[in-house]
Amino acid sequence: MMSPNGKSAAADASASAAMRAKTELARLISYVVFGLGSVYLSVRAGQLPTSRWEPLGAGSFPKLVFAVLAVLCLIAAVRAVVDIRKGGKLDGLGSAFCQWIKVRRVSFAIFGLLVVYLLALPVVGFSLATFVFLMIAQLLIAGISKKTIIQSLIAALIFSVGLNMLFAEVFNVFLPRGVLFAG
Amino acid sequence: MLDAFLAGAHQVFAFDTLIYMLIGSVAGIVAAAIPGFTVTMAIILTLPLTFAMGPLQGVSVMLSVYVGGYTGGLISAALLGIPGTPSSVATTFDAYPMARKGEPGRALSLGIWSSFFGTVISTIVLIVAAPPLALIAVKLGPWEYFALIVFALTIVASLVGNSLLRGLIAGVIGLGLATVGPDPMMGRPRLTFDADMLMAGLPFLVVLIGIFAISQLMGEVEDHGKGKGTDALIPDVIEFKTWAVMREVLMHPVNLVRSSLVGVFIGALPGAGGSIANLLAYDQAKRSSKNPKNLAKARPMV
Repeated sequence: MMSPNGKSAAADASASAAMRAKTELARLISYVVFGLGSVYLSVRAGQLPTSRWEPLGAGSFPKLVFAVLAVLCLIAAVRAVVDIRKGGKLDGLGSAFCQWIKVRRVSFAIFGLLVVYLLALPVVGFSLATFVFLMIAQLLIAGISKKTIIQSLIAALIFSVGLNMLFAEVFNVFLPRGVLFAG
Repeated sequence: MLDAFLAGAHQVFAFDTLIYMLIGSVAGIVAAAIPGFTVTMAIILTLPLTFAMGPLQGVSVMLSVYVGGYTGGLISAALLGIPGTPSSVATTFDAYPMARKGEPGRALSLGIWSSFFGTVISTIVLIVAAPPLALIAVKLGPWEYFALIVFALTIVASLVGNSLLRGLIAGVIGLGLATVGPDPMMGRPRLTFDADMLMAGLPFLVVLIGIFAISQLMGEVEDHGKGKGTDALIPDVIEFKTWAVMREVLMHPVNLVRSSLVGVFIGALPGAGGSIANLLAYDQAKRSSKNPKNLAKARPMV
């Protein structure tokens, strides 16, 4: 019969193996994404035309690089599959994934905000786009309270309008101006 | 040659020139401490301000911004884990863990003293050996450059952590990113997908910020999501043990001289620069270290 200490050690080992298996699964997904991406880019690079003066063509090096990347990802994916099989069960994968998303919800929100910022930059200009981006990003991270609103407002004004003025007035370098808003 | 050097030194050591140089150094340090703001950008912004100065002061200010900038890059590398300049990438490997483990003053002091002694050594070498070094540098052709780049790529094997395979994948992803943009032989656009912003390729600094700064910031945000965000990254009071750290740096003269010479040689080659030299010097220090496993454990390797 197993002692309580023995049971605890066995449970720890099992939890550690399950965690390793989940980590390897996450890595497997990234290898598959990178592998498929590199196959696509390798094919695209292979379609670049060659010329009379340069028979190898512009695409030969990127084609080779992305082909090597695809092979490396394949090897890594095979090893990850072997490790997952060794690690045992992937219990509670759905809840672990939800927890993973939950912990990183602010990171995802900031990435989304960054995309909106980049799209809005040519339309509304540097000052306004940066001000709104910084305000929302800071409040997302620090939470909403009277203190954080004042701090965020000051920082956003300095790094949007202030930076724009510094570059324009002192260095004569003009940051992007928008179609709708010139500032 | 010594006469010319002494005449130049006599002019540079004038009081007003030294004041200009002090301002230039501080400006360079501040500029380079901002991630994404390179030394080159700082010099470009300084250039119009030097039009009102004499040639000696103008050149002195620009050089001060340059030298100060290369030192300033280590501030954000050590304190935030984000290299301020491409040449301070290797600083993030050890100095940042050291700062996070409660020794930011030591990390900064080690970097600043190493930078100071490195600058002195390389300046002496350049004064003595600039003409022969330049003659060697201009004789290097495509074969030698290819060998240098292959040599630089072998550093991947030394920098990877537990998994060589993942290190190789990361290295090849870097090579892949470098292929975006115009073909260096014929100028034909490669993998740009007709996007204007990709037509000139991916600038090194932008990739550097994406890899170091964004991942570092997202890591901090993630820690915040886990409820660890209340701890300050760096303590309020940073303790500098200036002279003790200086002695510590001088206790390792071989590493100091070797790293400086790596910088001088790589810097003398057209096209190569601090971005390659810092990793090569780090690699050499790691290979010759008695304690290479001190990597990222908040202890200097030597």
